Amino acid sequence: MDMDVSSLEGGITCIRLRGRLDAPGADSIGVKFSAAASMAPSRVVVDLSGVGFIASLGMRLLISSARNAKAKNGVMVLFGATTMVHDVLEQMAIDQIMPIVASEALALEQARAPG
Amino acid sequence: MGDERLHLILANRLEALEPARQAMVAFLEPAALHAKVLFKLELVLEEIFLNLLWHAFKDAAEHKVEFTVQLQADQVTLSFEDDGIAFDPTQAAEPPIPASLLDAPIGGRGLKLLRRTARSLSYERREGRNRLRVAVART
Repeated sequence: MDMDVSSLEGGITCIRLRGRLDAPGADSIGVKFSAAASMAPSRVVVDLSGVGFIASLGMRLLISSARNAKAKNGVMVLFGATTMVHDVLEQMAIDQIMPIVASEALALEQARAPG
Repeated sequence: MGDERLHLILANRLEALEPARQAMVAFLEPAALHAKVLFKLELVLEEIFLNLLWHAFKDAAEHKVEFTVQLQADQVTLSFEDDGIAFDPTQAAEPPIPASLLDAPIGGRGLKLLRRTARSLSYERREGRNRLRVAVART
């Protein structure tokens, strides 16, 4: 699992993931991902366009980091999920508890909106 | 024509998961299943195997999990057999859907994911062993 972190205008952190967000994948990036997602001011967009698979441990990582961001008055927005990954996130009602949008532009818009 | 099967013995260690997944994918490759079906099968394998790792064995000894992939005309059936503590995923309660992110539990989604993914689930406890069969439709 590859992970790339960049700082965007407005204090937004962009995390781009590539690979499988399965148990080994989530395990390999877990610490780095949580640290990147909690960088102040915890306004984070996560690019899932390169993620071909996700299971419950991957969701666990996203949820725990989104909760940390929220607890710091920040937000985490997911974008670019492939159809299969998006379907699973929807089935698990993840879209009910954190924003999941189609494009990076929409994600940035949501991340910039006041909490 | 009889069903085709892949039978593997897996150690109860996380490192056993990826080789098992790869063996399953290689076994199913000639069937040219839709990517969505393979995704579901990988989900089932991962959720059940992790559940076994975390909950089935209370000692530190190595245990063996028998894993079988059965390719049938209209479905693929994954079977798991182990000597862990009795657990029937067909009967276990699902956590409720949380109202907000801060109410949402971090984990506990595996069972729900399994039920949403499988066409059918069957469980039996026989001679001190768990036998779980999970079918995923080929279409």
